[in-house]
Amino acid sequence: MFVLWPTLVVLSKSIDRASLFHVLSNSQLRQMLWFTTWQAVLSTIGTLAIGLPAALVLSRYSFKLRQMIRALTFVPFVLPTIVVGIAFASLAPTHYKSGPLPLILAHIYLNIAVVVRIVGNRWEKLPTAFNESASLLGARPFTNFRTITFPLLRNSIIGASGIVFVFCFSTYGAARVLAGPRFPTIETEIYRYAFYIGNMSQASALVVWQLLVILLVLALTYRQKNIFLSQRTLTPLSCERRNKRLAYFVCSSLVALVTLLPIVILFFSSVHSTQGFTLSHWQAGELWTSFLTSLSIALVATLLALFFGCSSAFAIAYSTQVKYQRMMQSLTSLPIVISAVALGLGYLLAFRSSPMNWRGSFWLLPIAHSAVALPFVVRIITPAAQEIQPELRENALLLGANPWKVWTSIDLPCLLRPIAVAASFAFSISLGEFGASSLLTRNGHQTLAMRIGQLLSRPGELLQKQAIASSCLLAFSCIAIALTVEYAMPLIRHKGKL
Amino acid sequence: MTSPFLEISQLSFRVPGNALPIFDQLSLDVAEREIVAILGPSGSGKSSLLRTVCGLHSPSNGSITLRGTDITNSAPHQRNIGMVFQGTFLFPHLTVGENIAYGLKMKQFSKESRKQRVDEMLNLVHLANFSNRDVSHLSGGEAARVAIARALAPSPQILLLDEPLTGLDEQLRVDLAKDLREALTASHITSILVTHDRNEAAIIADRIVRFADLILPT
Repeated sequence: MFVLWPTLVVLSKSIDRASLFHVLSNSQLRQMLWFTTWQAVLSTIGTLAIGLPAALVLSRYSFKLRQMIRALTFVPFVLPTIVVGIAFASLAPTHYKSGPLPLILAHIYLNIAVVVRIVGNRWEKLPTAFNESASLLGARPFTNFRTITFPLLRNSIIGASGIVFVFCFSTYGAARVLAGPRFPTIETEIYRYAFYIGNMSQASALVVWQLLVILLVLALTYRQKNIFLSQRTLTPLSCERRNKRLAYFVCSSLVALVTLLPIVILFFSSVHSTQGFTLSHWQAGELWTSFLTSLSIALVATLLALFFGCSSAFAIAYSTQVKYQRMMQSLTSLPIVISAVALGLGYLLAFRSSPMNWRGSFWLLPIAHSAVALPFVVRIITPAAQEIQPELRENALLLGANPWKVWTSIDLPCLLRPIAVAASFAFSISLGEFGASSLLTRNGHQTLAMRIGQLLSRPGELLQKQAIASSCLLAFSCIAIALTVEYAMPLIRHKGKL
Repeated sequence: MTSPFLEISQLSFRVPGNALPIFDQLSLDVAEREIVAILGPSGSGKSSLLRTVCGLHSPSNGSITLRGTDITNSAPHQRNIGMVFQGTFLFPHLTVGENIAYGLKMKQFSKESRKQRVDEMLNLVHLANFSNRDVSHLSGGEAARVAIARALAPSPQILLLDEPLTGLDEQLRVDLAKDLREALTASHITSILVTHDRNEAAIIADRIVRFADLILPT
C-alpha cells in the first residue's frame, strides 16, 4: 500500500499525453534528460574504472589491515548523498564548485562500494585454479583476464553497472548541491515542478520518463543465468613477493584514505571560521533538535523496514514457487526503480483526500523512509535465509523441535548478523534521506538532512558552516552505525545452554 | 653422462611469513618420457612441489632445469608445462571442445589444426563426440578425462598430475588410471604424478618414489 499505491497514483496522473510529450518537445527538458543520462553513463564508467581494481585487490589478496580497509571502502555508500555533495563542493576549487565534473566525481565516490561489493563477492568465489590452468596453457596475464576472469565476472559487472547507473540517474541530494542551476537533473526537476511550480502533472510525467529509462537499463543489465562457481568464499591469496604485498597495501590504503578525506575536510571546515577554531557551528540549538527528530524517525523507519523487509525476505526464501518469488522480488524492488523524490510525490498525491488525508501526519515520513530502505533489507536478508541448508531444519525437526523452535534455534541465529546489517542500512538510509523528506516534511518535524538543505539554500558563511557541521554529524552517525555492526556483531557469541 | 630431462636441485619452498618451509632441499631427476609417481600423505607438500615446478609458487632456494635450461624464475605461461589439478577446474563458461582448444589458441594454432587436435585428444581419452558438451553436465570421470586432454593438447614438455583421480569411486579410479597410463604412453610425455594411493601409482607410473626420500636428511 505504501509503495505500489503511490506509484500507481503518480502513473495515473501522467496519463495526460500533453505533459508526457512536452518533456520531449521542450528543448530545456530534453537537454536536462540528455544531461542526466550522459552524466550517469560517465559516472558508471568512472566507478567501474576504480571499483574493479579495488574489488580485485580487496577480494583476492591478503595483506595487512585488509579487513579494515575493505570496511572503510563501504563508508561512502552509507553516507547521505547530500553530505557527499557538500563535501565535494567544499573540496573543489572555486570554479568547479558545481557542474558536471564535481557531480560525476561525487557519484563515483558514492558508488565504488557497490562495485566492490557486487563484483568482489563474485571474485572471492572464483577459484584461482582457473587462472592458474590458463596460465599454464600459455595465457599471458591480460589474455588470462580477458578469456577467463572477465567472462566469469561479466554478469556481476553488468549487474553492478546497471545498479550504479540507476543510482547516478536518480540521486537527489548530490545533484541538488553539485549540479547547479545550469545543469538540472531529472530528479531535481521533478522536485522543482512539484514543489516550486506546483505542476503535478508535469512532475508526474517526468517520473514516468525516469521510470522508463531506469526500467530499460535494468532490463538490459539483468542477467538470469550466472555460472555457478562456489557457495563459499575462498581464502584470499597471500602474495609471495613482499613488494607486491606492500603495493596492494599502499594502493588499497589510498582508496580508503580517499573515502575518508572528504569527511575529515568537512569536519575541519565545521570547526574553523575566519576567527580561527570555533565550536559555535556545532552549538546551534536547531542542530540537536533536528538530530533528535532524525534519530526518532530513523528508529521507527528501521523497525518498520525490518518488519516488512524480514516478512518479504522470508516469504521469498521459504517459498518453493518460482513465480511467487519473482513477483515478491519485483514488488520489493520497486523503491529502487522509483526514486525517492518520485515516491514522495506519490505520497503527496495519494494521501491528500479523505479518508486517506495523511499529508500532515508525523508517521508518513518514517513510512516513506522504510519504503526507501525496503529493497536493501530484502536483498540482504533473502540470500542469507536461502543459504540455510534445509537439512539443518529437518534434523532439528527429527530431534523433536516444533516449527517455531526450529525457526528460533536454527534460522534466527544464522540470520542475526544479516538482520543487524540490514537494520544499520535502514537506519543510515533514513538518517540521510533527503528526496522524499523534501516533499513530505512538515513544520516542527524537520530532519537533519532537511535542515542541511534549508541552510544551504540561504546565503551567508555562518549558515553554510552550520550546514557543514550538520553534514558532519550525519556522516559520523552513519559511520558509527556501520562500524558498530562490523565490529560489535562478531563479539556476540552464542552462550551454551545444555 | 647425459643430463636428466628434468632436474630439480635442492629446491625449498616456504609460505611468506611462515618460519617453517613446506619442503626443504628437495632433489629429483626425471628422465625423458619417464612417468614418475611421488607418494606421500596428505599435507606433506606434494602439491606445493608441483606448483613450484610449474611456476605458480616461487622457490625460496634451489633450481629447476628442464632440457638443460634453467626455468627457476620463468613465468608459468613461458614454461610449456602442463598440469592437471586436483578437482579438474574445467573452465565453466567454455564447452568441452573449447576447454581442450584453449591452450592451442594460446599457441596460435590455426582453426583447422585446433579442431583436428581436439578430436585427436577426445579420442585419446575415449570421449569422442563430447566436443560441444557443457562441462557442467559431465560426470566426475568424464571431467577428469577432459582435464587430462586439455593439459595434453598443447604438447607440453612435461605433464604434472596433482591427484587427478581424487573423489572418484574405487572401480572408476582403477579404470581411469589404466586409461591415463595408456594416454601418457601414447603421447610419449614425461610426467610426474603425485598421489597418496599406492595402487594408482603402481598402475600409472614407471617409477615410484616416496616424497620423504626426496628431501636431503638434516
